[in-house]
Amino acid sequence: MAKKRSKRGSKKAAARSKRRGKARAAPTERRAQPKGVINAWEDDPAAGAQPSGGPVIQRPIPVLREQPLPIRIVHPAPAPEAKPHPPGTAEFRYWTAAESLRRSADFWGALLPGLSWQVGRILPVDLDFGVDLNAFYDRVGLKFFHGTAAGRTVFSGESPDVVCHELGHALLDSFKPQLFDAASLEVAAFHESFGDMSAVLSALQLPSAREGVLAETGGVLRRASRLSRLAEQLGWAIRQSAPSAVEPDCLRNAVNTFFYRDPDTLPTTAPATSLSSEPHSFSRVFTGAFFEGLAGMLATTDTRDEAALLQVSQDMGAILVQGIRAASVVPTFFSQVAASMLVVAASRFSAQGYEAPLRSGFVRHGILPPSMAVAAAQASAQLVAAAAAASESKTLPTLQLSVAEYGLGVPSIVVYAAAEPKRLQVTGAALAVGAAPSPGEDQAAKSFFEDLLRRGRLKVPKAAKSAAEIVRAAAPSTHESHTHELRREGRLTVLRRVRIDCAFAHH
Amino acid sequence: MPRINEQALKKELAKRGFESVSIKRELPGRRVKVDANKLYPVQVEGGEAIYAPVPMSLSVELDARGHIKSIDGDTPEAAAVADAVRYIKSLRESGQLAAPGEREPASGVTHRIERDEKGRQVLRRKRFSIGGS
Repeated sequence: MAKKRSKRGSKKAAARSKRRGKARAAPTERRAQPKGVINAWEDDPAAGAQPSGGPVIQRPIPVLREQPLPIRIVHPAPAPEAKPHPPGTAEFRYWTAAESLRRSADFWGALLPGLSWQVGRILPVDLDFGVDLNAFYDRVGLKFFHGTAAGRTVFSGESPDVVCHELGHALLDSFKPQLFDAASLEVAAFHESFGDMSAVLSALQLPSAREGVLAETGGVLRRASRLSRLAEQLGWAIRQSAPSAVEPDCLRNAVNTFFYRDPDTLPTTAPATSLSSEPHSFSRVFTGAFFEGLAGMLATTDTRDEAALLQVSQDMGAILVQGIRAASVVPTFFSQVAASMLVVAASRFSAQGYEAPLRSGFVRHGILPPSMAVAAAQASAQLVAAAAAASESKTLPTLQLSVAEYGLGVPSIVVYAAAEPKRLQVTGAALAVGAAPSPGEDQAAKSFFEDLLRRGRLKVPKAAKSAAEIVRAAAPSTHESHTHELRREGRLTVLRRVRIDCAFAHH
Repeated sequence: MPRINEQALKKELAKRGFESVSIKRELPGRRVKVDANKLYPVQVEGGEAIYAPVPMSLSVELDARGHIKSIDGDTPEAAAVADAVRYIKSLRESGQLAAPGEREPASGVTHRIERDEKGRQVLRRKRFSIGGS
């Protein structure tokens, strides 16, 4: 039986949120709002391990065709009468899907003004494309399904968690289209993580969800809750035939302790209790770090109340979007996004103190080694000072490498990210052992640097030539052909790419 | 530096085999930083090569009229190619890659291998799903 939550949206809290949000969020101006309300699920039709019991809320009638990011439900069509329908009816399913689509699009649209869908001006949505316990985003639109488990028919488009996850795919594809079919394990996993993060952040735009999670967790957001449990009903349905494929009380849980591993070292499939390289499974590492960061961000606020949670969710959305935009697409994409997010947090939200809790989340889940997390934040301060007008794409993550043993005359070097594509390989490789407690154990990063030395691709400083230079037999005598050099930049020694050598495999 | 005509640049890059092009920023010296995917042949368990969209970061030099003069970094990093090989293997092993000739892909399938107009086998994502296979 669904519990009914009234509009205890607390007008006072909403007003507070609005005031606080003014400085940073950019809510979209809406045209005339139709009068009336509809019934909808808050985040999912189910509650925990049970296939039902999710809270029903009342919401203003959503207008899908409006900006930002217009949407059209193409099936079923036309729209049923907009009024509060009881759960279990096709009309209810239509409006709960419409409500979550509009809410999620509004949330992301405010953070990405002017963005249009990758699929065209309007995102088409089919709420019942056929029989399956699944939901899809392709470059046509969103597709949801129905399926039967233990005698109960489950509609994936009825779950706001599922809807906001799929809308997240469509959104990410619209502002970072390169990720759609990039042949990379971590990129694919990140897309899935973004879907889950979209579900979490979209849920937090509901006053009742914010109040509910604060009450459920006693204000300690990092505890498992309705918010962290994603797609409970779909998870239940899958569990009826494949018990080990999903969590015991949902599809995936954003509160988890999964620790980063090079996906190449993981099995292709595994039960939900373990990590595998399958994108949905591996995505949980990033989602777990994100959720922990989000919880920590709330803990930095004075009030830790519902209004603060709204502000934190919007700030997290902004950090995430800017971090993704700045991140270069490399095999170790998780670390690139994480480092970029830290740079954004440290440079644009320094007053809020978000950088420390975010860093903790990424370090505790092994996405960034402690040394690189610190270096990213330090780099941000320098970059901001150096280029006050710099766009977000100019903020770069860094990695600090200890190189004392190579006889280069410097104890450590800094490697900047996006300016040099090859450097990103360093970052990523390092993160495979990034969980190591000390930078000295950062073997993968070292192996890249050592590889440069070994292949004679690093221009060694004059003073260190006799001790450290490796000469390439095939090096041309008429011009320099090294790809990297060490430059003194302020108090740092920085590894800089000076050229790109396309014949990387042959020398 | 004249304002970059993004559409024209994307068109030129498409002719050179780059897909999903996004212009990241302008660099000094009529250069543009670009993120894109390039179809790159990878060998997975022998047989015919599969062209996989491998993510890359390019530095494109433009001439005075805004046409491409040269491209730095138009060959994928070795790590990115290795990642593509692992990715295809993982898709196959987890049942997310449609079998050849499969018309109606199973629920967990997210990718297909298609023949392009040049007769190459190309890995293509068809969709994202909410759950694994």
